[in-house]
Parts: sequence; structure tokens; C-alpha cells
Amino acid sequence: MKESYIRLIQYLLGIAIAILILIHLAIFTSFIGPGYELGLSWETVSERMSSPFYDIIYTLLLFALLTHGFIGIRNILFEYITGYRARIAVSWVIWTIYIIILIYGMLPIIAS
Amino acid sequence: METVKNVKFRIKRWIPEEGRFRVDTFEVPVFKGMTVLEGLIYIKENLDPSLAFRRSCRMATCGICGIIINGKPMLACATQILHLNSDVLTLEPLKNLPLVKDLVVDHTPFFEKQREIKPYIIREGGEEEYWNPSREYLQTPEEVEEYLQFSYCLTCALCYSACPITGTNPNYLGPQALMNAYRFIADSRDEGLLIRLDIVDSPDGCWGCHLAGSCSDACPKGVDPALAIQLLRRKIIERDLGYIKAVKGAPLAPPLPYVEEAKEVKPPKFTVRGAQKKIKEIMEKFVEQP
Repeated sequence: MKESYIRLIQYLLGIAIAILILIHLAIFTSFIGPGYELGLSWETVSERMSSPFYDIIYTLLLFALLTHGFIGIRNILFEYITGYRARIAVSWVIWTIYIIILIYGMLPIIAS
Repeated sequence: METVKNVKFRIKRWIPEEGRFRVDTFEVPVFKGMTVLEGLIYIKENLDPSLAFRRSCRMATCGICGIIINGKPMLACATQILHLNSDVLTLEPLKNLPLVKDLVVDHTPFFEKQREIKPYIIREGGEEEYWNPSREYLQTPEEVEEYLQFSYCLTCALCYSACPITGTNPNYLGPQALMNAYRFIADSRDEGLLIRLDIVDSPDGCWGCHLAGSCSDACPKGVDPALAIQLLRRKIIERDLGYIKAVKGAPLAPPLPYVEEAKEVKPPKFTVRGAQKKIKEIMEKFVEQP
């Protein structure tokens, strides 16, 4: 994949995260949700996770944050690891860890 | 020249035989308007003939006398000692380049990276015109403005030395090469847009820049490489989104009639007088042109 595509995805995910984080915060606070303390109670979270709307929001947020973060880590590592083959190896390691964490993060959403 | 004051030159000299730096201090009598380069020449002529440094034009045109003066990359010939407001000057060789001796560095990696971005006008299918140019390309003053400031680059490598990314990633193209890539992309005569965008579209190309801006700060000619790198990124994203495709370069200027006529004139055979007559005819036609 061209470097510019990766950077473009990074930019677009940055915008998406800004929107999703606002929704996420609004859910916890009294703008939409029941307030910060009550919003974090087991019953409220459980009820929220059974809603398909929140499932989609949290799946998107998880995907956007993880992808954005791992692209960022990749960029930082690429500044120190300059060899072509070493960079390919680093990419494989990074994206393997990314997929493992993505699946792990999806488990509560799938389970609900 | 009347001496205004004495200034200490602390010179961090690279000793290649020992593989280490040595700091030597020299006291230089400074007159009004004296440059750092003149100070170095004074040291070489009067105090230590073994001091090595590069110089050529002495008027900020060749860009070879770049050194680090009091922590900042500058041209020694364009920096007046009294303007620095310091009684002690610390001079070092440029960073991010292989050291040769004392203040002399090897510019080879810098020029190799510049060569990578094809720093010349690329014309699709214009081989004949490229190697045997017959006419100039038409360009409006507005089109010249697009790249003018970037064409002031001296290739002095001060930006390369100031760049923190070049210091950490030796494969990074560097501000000068990237700026030069944009300089040719912005040139309306050029058709190598997509070729150059492919070259700079990499983690070691324009995406490696952290926007420190030290390159623009260091440039003695006021060129803004940091801006050029951002404009390159914009071009790449526009290409990816399909806004720009291959560009058509500026057309050639129409042939000038007297030039064409002059081409048709065959050289006279063996007579000097005949040749003089033909030359006179051509010159008369030339003068008649508006």
C-alpha cells in the first residue's frame, strides 16, 4: 500500500475519532446519558451494550482508535528502523498485534 | 581597517587521524563589517595555516561556506561577526553530513538525495527538444511566481544540517531535496509531476517531516522548505483523491522568423568574402526585426 493511502486513512480516522469520542463522552455525561457515575454502573453499561446502536458506535470507535494508534506506532518505529526488510518485519509484527487486540476488544461487543 | 574589538573563535575541529573533535581557541581582531569567513581567513593566514574550511564566492552565492555558528547553521561569508553580539564565537562543522577535516564536511549524501528527485525539467516524449533545445517555453509571470522562491536555493545544505529528522533517519530525503521536488512540480514547463510524487511518497520522503521548521529558519535565502513539503503532501493527497492527473507542460514559444531564416542559410564554400557577405545579410535582417 502506498504511504500516502496510509496517511490519508490516518487523517480520516483522526476526524472520525474526534466525532466518536464526543458521542462516547456524551453517553457518559448528562447530555444524553444518565450522568457520569450512573452511566458507568454495571446495569447501565450492560443495558447499553445490548443496543445495536451502541454496538456499532463502540465497534467503530475501537476500530478507529486501534488503527489510528497502530499507524502512529508504525510511523514512529519507521523513523528508527530504516532498513527495507526490517520495516517489512516490523509491519508484520505490528499488524499481527493489531488484529489480536482488535479481536480481543470485539469480544465484549460480540458477547453482548 | 580599524579594529573594534577582539573576538574569540572557539573552533570545534574534526581530527580525522584521531577520529575525534578538538576545540581550538583563536583571538581575532574584528573590524566593522568583518564576516566570520574573513575571521577564519585571518586565522589561516596569521595563526594556524592547518585550519581547514571551505570557501569560494564570499558573497552568499555558492553556498559552500556553511558552518554552525553559535549553534545555528549559517553561511560564514554572510554573517558579520559584530551582528552576533558575542565576544566568543563557537564554530562547528555542519551536522548530518560525513566529516572530512576541521570544518569541512562531505556534501555527497546531500547531492545524491537531490539527484534522486530528478532536479530538472521532465518533458514526456520531448527527448529531441530536451537535448537540442530550439526555443524557450512560454511561461506567464504568475506561473513563475509559483516556484520562484524555491528556485533561490543555493544547495548550501544548511537546512539539511538543521533538520532533526535527517539526524535520526539517514534515508530521509531531507528538506532541500523535497523542496526541490516541489520546485519542479510547481514549474509549468515540467511534466514529471507523477514521477516525482511517487519518489517522495514514502516514510523517507515528505511523510517523514515532523514540521519542526528548522530548515526554513536556517535558510540564508529565505526559502521555505517546510512549506514546500506541506504543499507536496497536498499534491499527493490530491493525486490519491483523483483531483490531479498527468500534467501538460507549457508549450514551446512560436519560432522566430529570423532564426528560422538563419538556419536555412548554408555556409558559403571556401570564400571568406562570401561568408562575410552572408553574415552581413543575416545581421541586417536581425536588426530589422522589431
